[in-house]
Amino acid sequence: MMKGVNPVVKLMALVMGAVIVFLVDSVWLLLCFVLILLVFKVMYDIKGRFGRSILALVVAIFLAQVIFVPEGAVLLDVRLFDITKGAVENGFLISGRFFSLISMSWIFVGTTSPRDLSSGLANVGVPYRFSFLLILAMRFAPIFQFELSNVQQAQRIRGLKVGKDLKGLIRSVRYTTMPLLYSAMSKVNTLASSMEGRAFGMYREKTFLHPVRFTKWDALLTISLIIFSVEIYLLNRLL
Amino acid sequence: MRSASNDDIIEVEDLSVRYPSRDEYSIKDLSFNIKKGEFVWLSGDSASGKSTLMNCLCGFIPQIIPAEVEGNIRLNGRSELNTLELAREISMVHQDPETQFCTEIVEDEIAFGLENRRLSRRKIDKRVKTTLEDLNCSELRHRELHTLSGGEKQKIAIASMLVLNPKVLILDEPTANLDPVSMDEVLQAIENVSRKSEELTIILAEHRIGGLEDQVDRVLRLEGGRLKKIIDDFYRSPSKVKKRLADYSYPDYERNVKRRKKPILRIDGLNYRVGGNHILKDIDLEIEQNEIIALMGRNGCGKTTLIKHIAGLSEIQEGTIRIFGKDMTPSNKIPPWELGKQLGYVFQNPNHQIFENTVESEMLFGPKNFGKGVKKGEDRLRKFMKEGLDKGTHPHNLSFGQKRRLNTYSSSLHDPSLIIVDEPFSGQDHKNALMIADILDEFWRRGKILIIVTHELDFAKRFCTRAVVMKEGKMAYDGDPGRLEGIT
Amino acid sequence: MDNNYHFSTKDLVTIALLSALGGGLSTYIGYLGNLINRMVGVPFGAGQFMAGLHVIWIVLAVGITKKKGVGTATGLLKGMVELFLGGTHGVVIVVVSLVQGVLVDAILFKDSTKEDRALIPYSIAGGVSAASNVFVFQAFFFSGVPIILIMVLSMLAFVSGLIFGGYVTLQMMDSLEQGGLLDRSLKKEKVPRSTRYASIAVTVIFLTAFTVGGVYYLHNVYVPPGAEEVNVVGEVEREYVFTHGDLEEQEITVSAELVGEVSYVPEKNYTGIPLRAIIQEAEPVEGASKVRVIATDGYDAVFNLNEVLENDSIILSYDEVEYMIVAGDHHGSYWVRDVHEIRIE
Repeated sequence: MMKGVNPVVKLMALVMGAVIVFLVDSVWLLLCFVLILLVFKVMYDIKGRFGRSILALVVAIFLAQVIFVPEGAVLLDVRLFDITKGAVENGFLISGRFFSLISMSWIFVGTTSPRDLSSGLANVGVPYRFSFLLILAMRFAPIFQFELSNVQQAQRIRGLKVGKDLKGLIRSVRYTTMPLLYSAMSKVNTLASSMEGRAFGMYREKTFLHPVRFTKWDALLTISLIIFSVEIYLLNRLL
Repeated sequence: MRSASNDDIIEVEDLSVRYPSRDEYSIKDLSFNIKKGEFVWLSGDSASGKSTLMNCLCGFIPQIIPAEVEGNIRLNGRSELNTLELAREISMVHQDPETQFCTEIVEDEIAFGLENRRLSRRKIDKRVKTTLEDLNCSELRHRELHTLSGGEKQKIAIASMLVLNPKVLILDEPTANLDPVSMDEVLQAIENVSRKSEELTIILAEHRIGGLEDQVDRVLRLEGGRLKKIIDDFYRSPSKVKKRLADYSYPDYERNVKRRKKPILRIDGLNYRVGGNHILKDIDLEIEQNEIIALMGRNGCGKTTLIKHIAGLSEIQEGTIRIFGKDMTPSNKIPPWELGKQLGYVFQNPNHQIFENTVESEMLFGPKNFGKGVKKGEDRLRKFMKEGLDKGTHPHNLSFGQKRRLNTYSSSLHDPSLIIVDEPFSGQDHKNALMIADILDEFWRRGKILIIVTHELDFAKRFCTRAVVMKEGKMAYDGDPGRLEGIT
Repeated sequence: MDNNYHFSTKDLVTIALLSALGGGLSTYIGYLGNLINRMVGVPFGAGQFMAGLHVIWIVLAVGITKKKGVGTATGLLKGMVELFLGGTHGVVIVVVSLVQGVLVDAILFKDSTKEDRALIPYSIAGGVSAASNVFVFQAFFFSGVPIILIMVLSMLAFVSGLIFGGYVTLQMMDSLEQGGLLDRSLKKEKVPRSTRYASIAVTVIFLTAFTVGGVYYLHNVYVPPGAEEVNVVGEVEREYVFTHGDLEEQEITVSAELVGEVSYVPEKNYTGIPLRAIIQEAEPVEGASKVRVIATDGYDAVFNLNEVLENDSIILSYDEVEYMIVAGDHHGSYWVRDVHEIRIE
C-alpha cells in the first residue's frame, strides 16, 4: 500500500508530520503518535535500529531539559540540580519529538526509492536535471562507503596508526579524505561524458519510462492528511 | 570482414591535444579517415593517446575535459559540433562501467538516453527489449546494476549506448578489468554487434581482442601520441602480424625453489559470510618460504576477501589463521600497522592507496610510518626519476602504469617478508605488465614470499611456483601452475 | 536543442558526487566526533571539533564549480543522501545541511566580482556554516539549554569550520589542481606561506577571543541561577527586601532531614535566618493567615502564618547560589528551592 503512494505525497506527509510533532505539546498525544509510528514501522518491516547513537541522542535531549530547564515541583534533589516535574515532562516531550521524527524518516525512506521520488518530483515541476541528482548521488554514496573502508585498510597496512591522540586522528582524517576526494573528482569527467553522450539535458523535459503520476487516490490521501493534521492540532489545543 | 562503404564518416586532420596540467602534447598531428561501417582497432600502449583521441571524436575534449585542441575533426562532413549534437551519431563506452552508470537498475540505465531524447514510452520499452535481446541478456533487465558480474556490467554499458542507434560506436578498453571468462563474453558480444549491424562503424581500443581479429578492417597503431602505423584489410593479414600486435606473453623466469619446510602462514577451516552470502568456504592453506603463489579465479570468487583475511584486514568469523607465528583470531589479533611491518599489501585500485601530494613523500609514506626503509626509498626514487619524472610530481599526474609501480614499491620498502599484490596487471598494457613482473621477480630474489592475485594464465605458468584457484568461495585447485590449462 | 543552463552537466555531476561523498562519510565523521569526545572525556559536545568536516564538501563544491547556488544544492542533496542512508537524525539532517549550504552560498557570493580562492572568505563561510548546525539542533531539540553552552559549542564548530572550510579546503583544491583534476588552472599559486601564517593567526585570535570571552562571561556576565534577593510582599505594612547578610545576628543552625515523594536527604545541618524574623521585618497586617513561598520558576508552597511565627526551625538558608526554605518538620514539597518571593496572604 505505502509503496504505491506518490512519493511526493509521502514527502509532504513527512514534512507535515514534522510540523505536527513540534506543534503538539501534550505528552500523551505525542505518545499516541509515537505508538502509531511504531506500528507502521513493524507493519511495513521498516529497516532502522534504535541503536546506541540514537539512544545517546535521546538521553542527551532528555537530560538537557532536565538539567537546564527546571520547571514546577521538585521531584528529586541530586545535589547539582533538581529534577522537576515540568522538566521531566518537557524531556519526554522533546525526546518524543525526536523519536517520532526518526521513525517517520525511516518509514519514508523504507517505502520510497530515490528513483520514484526523483520522477515524482519531476512530475510536480522540478526540472529533471535536478531531480535526477538524487538518483545519481544515491548510486555513488555506497561506492564511496566501500572505498572508505578500502582506503583505511590501505593506510593501516602501510603503518598509519589509528591514533588515540589528536595528532594521529588528524593524520588519519587527512589520509582518508584526500584519496576519497581524488576518487570522486576523477569520476566527474567520465560520468559527465557518459551522461551528455546520452543526451542528458538535450531538452528541458524528458520522457519517464516509469512515470510517477498524481492520481485521485493521492489527492484523496493529501486531503485526509490535511484533515488529520488539523484534527491533531485541535485535539492538542483541547488537551 | 565487413562491407565498409567508400564514404568517410570521420575525417581527422592534423589533430593535436595538450592538457593544461601537462607540458607535452598527448596526441600530435594525427590525420586519418574512417569509412562508414568500418571496424577499426585502435592499438597502442596505455599512454599512447588512445583515450584522448576517442574523447576528442565525441567532443568530450574540450567541451567537458578542458584541453588545447588544434586541427580539425569532421563527422559526416560537418565540424564544430557540440557534445549533444555529436551524441546523436557517436556513442562511447568507457573503460570502467562502474563510473559511467548513473542509475541503479539495468532497465533505467539502458532507457536513460532514450528518455532524454524524449521518445515515447512505447518506443523506449521496445528498443530496450530488442537491444537486450541483441546482446543476449534479456534476463538482466530488472536486475540492480551492482549485483551484476564484471562482464555483465560491461555488456549493459554497451547496450546503454547501442540502444541509441549510433552511427559510430567507440569502445575504450572494455575488457580491461575483466577475468578471462567475462572477457570472452564481452568480446563475443562485440562480435555479435559487429556482424548484425554492418552499417555501424566500430572503433575499439584494446590490448587483446581474441577472436575479433577476423572482424577488423583496419588497425590504427598509436605510439607516443603519434600515428605509427595503419594496417588496411587487417583480417587478411598473416597471423604473424596479428600475433605481434597482441603479444601478451611473459618470458620464462628461473625458478629453482629450494623447499624449506617452514610455513609462515597457516589457515584452517576459514569461513566468511556477509548477509546471506557464503564468501569463503572451508579454506585450508599453508604457505612456506620462497613460494610465489598465483591466486586465481573469476571476479567475485573470494580472492580479495581471502587476502584481506591474511593481512588481518578482515575479522575472522570462523576458522583460524596463524601468520608469522601469530594467531589472528579476533581476541588476540594484532593491528594491521603491526602486522604491516612484515607484510606488504598492494591494493588493486591505485587511487585508494595514494596518500601524499608528491611522488617523493608518497614513496616514503610507509618507511616513515614504520621507521624503516627510508634510505632504500630514496634510492628507489632516484631510479624511478630516470623515467623523466620529478620527485615533486603529483602522484595523480602519473600514468596508470607508473602509479601501479609506485604502489608496488611504496608498499614494500620497509622490507616485509610477505608481499601480497592484488591484480597487478589489470588495465595494464604489456610493456607495463612486464615491468611490474620484473619488480616482483626482484622481490622474490631478495627472499620475499609473494601472493599475486591474477587472471594471467601465462604469467602464472612462467612466473609462479604454485597456483591456487578459487571457485565460488572454495579452493578448487592447489598445485603446479604448469598444469592449470583447462582448469581455469 | 537547449544547451544554455546555469549549471552544466559537469557542475551537476560534481554536486552529486561531492554530496554522495559527504553523505556517505557522515557516519565516519560522527565516529570521529565520538572519538574526540572520548579523548576529552565528555559525553557529547567536543565532537563539534569535527563539525567542519561536514561542511568541507559544500565549500569544495562551490570552490570547484564557482557557481552561485551550488552550495545550496550540495547542502540539500547531501542532506537527502544522509536521510536515505538512514542517518541518526532523520529528516532534521536535511534542514541542517540545507542551512549550511545556503550560508556557504550567501557568504562566498556576497562579493560576486571576486573569483579568487581567498582564505578569509572561505574560512568565514566554513566557520559560519559549521556553527549553524548547533543553532538548528538547538531550535529543534535543545530549547532552553543555557546560552553559554550553545555559545561554547557553536564556537567549537565555528573554529572547526574555519580551519576545515578555509585552510584545509584550499589545500585540497591546490592538491586537486596539481593532480590535474581541477579545470580552471588560472593561477599557479600555492597557498603561500604568509597565508598559512595568516590562517594560524586567525585561528589563534579566534581561540584566544573565545577563551577570554568565555572566562569573562563566566565571571562577570553569567548570573548563576537563583535570585539575588527575596521580596516579602502582600498583606504587609511595608514590603521588605531580604538579601543575604541581612539579619545576620539572628542566624541559627538547625538540623533537619528532607523527606519528599521521591527524594530523601538524611539529617544534616543547615544555617540560615528564621523565616519568622524575615516576615516580621515586613510587619504582616492583622488578618493575614498564610505565607506563600514562591520560587523563580513559579513553584510555590503555602505555610500557615501563625505556625511560621511560632516556629524557629523553619529557616531561609543561602548556599551561595540560591535561597532555600529548610522546614525540618514539613514534607519535602515545602522545602522550596530558589526562593524569590514570600507573599503574605
